[in-house]
Amino acid sequence: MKTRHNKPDAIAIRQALKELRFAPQRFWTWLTGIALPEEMGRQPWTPAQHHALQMGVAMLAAGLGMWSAQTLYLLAPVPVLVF
Amino acid sequence: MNQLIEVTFAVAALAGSGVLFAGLKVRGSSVLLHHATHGLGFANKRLNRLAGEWAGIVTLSGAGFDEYRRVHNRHHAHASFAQRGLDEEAEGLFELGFQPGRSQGALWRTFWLTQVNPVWHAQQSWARLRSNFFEGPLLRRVAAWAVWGGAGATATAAGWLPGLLGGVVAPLLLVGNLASYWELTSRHIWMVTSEHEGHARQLDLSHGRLMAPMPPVRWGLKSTCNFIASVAAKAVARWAVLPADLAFHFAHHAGWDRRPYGAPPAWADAALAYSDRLRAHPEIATQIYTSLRAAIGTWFARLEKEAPVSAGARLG
Repeated sequence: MKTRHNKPDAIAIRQALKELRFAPQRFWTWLTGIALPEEMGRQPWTPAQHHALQMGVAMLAAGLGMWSAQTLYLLAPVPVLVF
Repeated sequence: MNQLIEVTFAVAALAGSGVLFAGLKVRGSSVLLHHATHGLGFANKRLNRLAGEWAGIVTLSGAGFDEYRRVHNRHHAHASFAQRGLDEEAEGLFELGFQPGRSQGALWRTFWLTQVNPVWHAQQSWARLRSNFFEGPLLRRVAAWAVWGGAGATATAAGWLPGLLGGVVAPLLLVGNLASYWELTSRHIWMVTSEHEGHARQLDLSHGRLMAPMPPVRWGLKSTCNFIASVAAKAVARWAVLPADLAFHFAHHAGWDRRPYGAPPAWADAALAYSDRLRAHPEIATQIYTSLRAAIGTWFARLEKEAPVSAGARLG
């Protein structure tokens, strides 16, 4: 199959990451979306857990966004003053 | 100097919140609402619907429960990017310019230019706002006004309204548009027909989805920094736009995750090996650990054999 990129297959990359011990293999599995053949299947989250994570992340994102906006709004006149 | 540090932190916080908002949008629409419309969320039907609507409202999804289910059922029935008039998700991509017969370069230009097109952003954002606040069942509209109106009233009382608009609503709309677009253009890589090198093109577009940083052969300063940066970039992408990864969608369209009213084994962020049903396919099970492309190729062949697209519906 022709593709624009001439890079190694995703499986080969996952195998190469297996050698890296400074991060848990679970992290590399999450990052690549590909588990090792010998890796145990993961216990799936329940819908309630997914919704709880969603709400937690929503609060964190809203907090970060609002906090940053309060500071960055002060910069709004800068382009006007420059130009 | 202190002001410079404060601005730097603010920009970093805005970027961080943008990444989180992108992930929220994709999870809210393409995972939580999507699963709920398939009846794959909570066992209780009412709770399942409520949770789906809630996920859609919080992330300003472009469709409520009923509309999402209507469009999505057609998508499942006619899930090929080559079938205009049957699959509305495909129709949207076609209108943007993702059409058979165009050159690889033209498709890539369309892909990138769409994302920086302010008119496209305005249309997408307005469609999402309209869907939540002015269309759909009355109860859902009331809920949307209550959630966002309540947030607005609270922010106004606390003097945070500009922060809410500029730091929450605007990023949620803009970054959400992008995240959904990236997901939509790369999710169905096995579903295009082989005409006009469709498979190769779609796989090409999905390359970033499959690829992960390759460890360097020699760990010098430059190669180590490059590797760390690429891991960070992939981690951001993985969180922000790829929560429901290939294997899940692969199995989903095959009907392998339709366990009624329960969390399927491949819920949300499934990795390839987490799908037992996918492993059970004899050819794919062997290919999946040797070549992902070969496994996807097998799937292409199987899909075309099982559900050939009618000639009348094809483009090109």
